[in-house]
Amino acid sequence: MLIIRLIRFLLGFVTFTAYGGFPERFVNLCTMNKIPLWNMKKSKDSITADTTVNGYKSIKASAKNSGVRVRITKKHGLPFFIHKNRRRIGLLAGFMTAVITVSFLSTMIWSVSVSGNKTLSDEQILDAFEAVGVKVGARRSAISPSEAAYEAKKLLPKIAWASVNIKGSRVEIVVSELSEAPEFPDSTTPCNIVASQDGTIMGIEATVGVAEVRSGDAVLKGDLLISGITENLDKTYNLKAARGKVHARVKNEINASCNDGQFSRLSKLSEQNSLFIFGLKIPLGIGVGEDNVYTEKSFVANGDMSLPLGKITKRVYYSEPCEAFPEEYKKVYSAYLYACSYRAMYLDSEQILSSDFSFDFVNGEPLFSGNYECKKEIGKRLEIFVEK
Amino acid sequence: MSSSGKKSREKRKSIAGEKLKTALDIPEILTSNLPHIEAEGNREISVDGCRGILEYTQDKVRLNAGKLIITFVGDNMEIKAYSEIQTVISGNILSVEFESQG
Repeated sequence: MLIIRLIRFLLGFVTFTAYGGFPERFVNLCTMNKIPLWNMKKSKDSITADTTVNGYKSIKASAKNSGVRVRITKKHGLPFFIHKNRRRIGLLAGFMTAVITVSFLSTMIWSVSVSGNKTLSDEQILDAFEAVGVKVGARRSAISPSEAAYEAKKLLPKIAWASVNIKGSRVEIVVSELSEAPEFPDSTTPCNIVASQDGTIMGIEATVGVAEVRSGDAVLKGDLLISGITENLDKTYNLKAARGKVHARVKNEINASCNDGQFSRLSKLSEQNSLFIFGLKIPLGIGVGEDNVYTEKSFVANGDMSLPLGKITKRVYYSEPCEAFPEEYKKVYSAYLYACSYRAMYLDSEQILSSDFSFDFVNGEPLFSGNYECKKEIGKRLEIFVEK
Repeated sequence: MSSSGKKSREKRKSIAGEKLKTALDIPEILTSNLPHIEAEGNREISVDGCRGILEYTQDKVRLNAGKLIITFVGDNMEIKAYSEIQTVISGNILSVEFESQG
C-alpha cells in the first residue's frame, strides 16, 4: 500500500541478512520482541529481510539467542539520505529556494480563460478584465471576483453578466452577452413604402396601408409601393405608418479589376522580443513603437493549461508602393476579387435567379465583370410630411 | 483434581460453548481458534492468527497456527510480512497442507 511505503520511506528502514544459526527461531524471537519484519527471502544459508531502524537497533538479542549473525546490506529512506548529504548545503538551499518560489508563485494568477462569449472576442474581454486587475501575474488576494466582474461590465456594455471564478492559480471568466432587443417599427410617424431600386415586383404583403402595385409590375426607383394614406367610407383620409414587404426581381452589375497602383510590398519588418515571466516583461531588444503593432504571444503550455512563462513578439510592418506586380500574385488577387464579389452578391440578395459573369485580361490586367438577377426586398420607408 | 476429571470438565465446557454459539447464531469466525486464510490465486496467501514459523526454505513454509500446522509448498517462497496479527506469503504456491495439533 502506498501510504505504508511512504511512511517507511519517511522514517527509514534497512535491509539486512542473517547468516547461520536457526533462522526460523530468529524470526519468531523478532516477532515476540515486537520487531517488525517484511520482504523476507530465504536463500541457501541465509535469510534477507527488511526492518525499521529502531527494530534493527534491538535485533541483537534475538540474533544472539538464535545463533545468527546479522549484517546490514542496504539502507533506505529519508533519514539516511539526509545524513549522507548533510554537508551538501547547496542541495538544501536549492530545495528551500524551490519551496519558497513555488509557495510565492502559487499566490499569483497563472492563467486567465474566457468562456460563454459569442460576439465579443476573447481578447476584448481579457483586455477589459486586465484593466480592472484580473490578469496573469496579479496577486490572488488582491482580486475581488464580484467587484472585478462589476467593473468589467461597465467597460463592456454588451455583457449582461460576468462571473470571475478563481480556482487555485487559474481564473475562469464566464460571461453572458446581452441579446439585442428586436427593432420595433415606428408606428406613429406617417410614411409610405417606396422602391429603393428598379425592378419587377414578385410579391407584395401590405401589413398596414394600401398596396399600389401588383406582382408583375415594373417599378422604378422611388415609385410608391404601399401607400400610408387610406380613404375612409366617409371620404376622409387617414395617415398611417405603412408597413409591409415588397419582393422584386432586380438586376445588378459587378466590375472588379486589379490595378498596380493599389498594391504595396513589404519593405521592412521590425521585431522586438520580450520575455514574459509571471506578469513581468523583460525586453530583449530595441522597442518598435506603439503604432500598427502586431503582437504574438507564445507561452509554455501543456494541452489546455498554459503557464505565464513565454515570449511576446511585437512586429511592425513597413511597406512601399509596388509598380510592377508579379503575374502569379495577380492571379491570386483575381481569385480573391472573384470570391469577394460572389460573397457580396449573396449577402445582398435573398435568392440569385440568374447570373452571367466573365473573366478577362484587359491590357494585361485581370477584369472580372458580369450581371446577375436576384430576388430581394426593395421597400424603403419615406415619411409623409404634413403641414401643421 | 485428577487429569481425567479435568478433561471431562473441559469437554463439558466445549459442548456447552457449542450449544450457546448455535443458540445465539454467532459466526464461527468470531469464536473459533482457527486461523483465517485468504488466498489470491496461488500467488499470495495471508494467514491471520499465526503463532510462529516452524520451517522456512525456498520451497516450503510451515506455520504454527494454533490448532493447525499449515504447510505451504511451492517455488520462490517469500514471507512478505510477518507479525502476530498477520503473515503474508507470496511465491508460486503449489499446495497447502493442514495438520491438526490436537
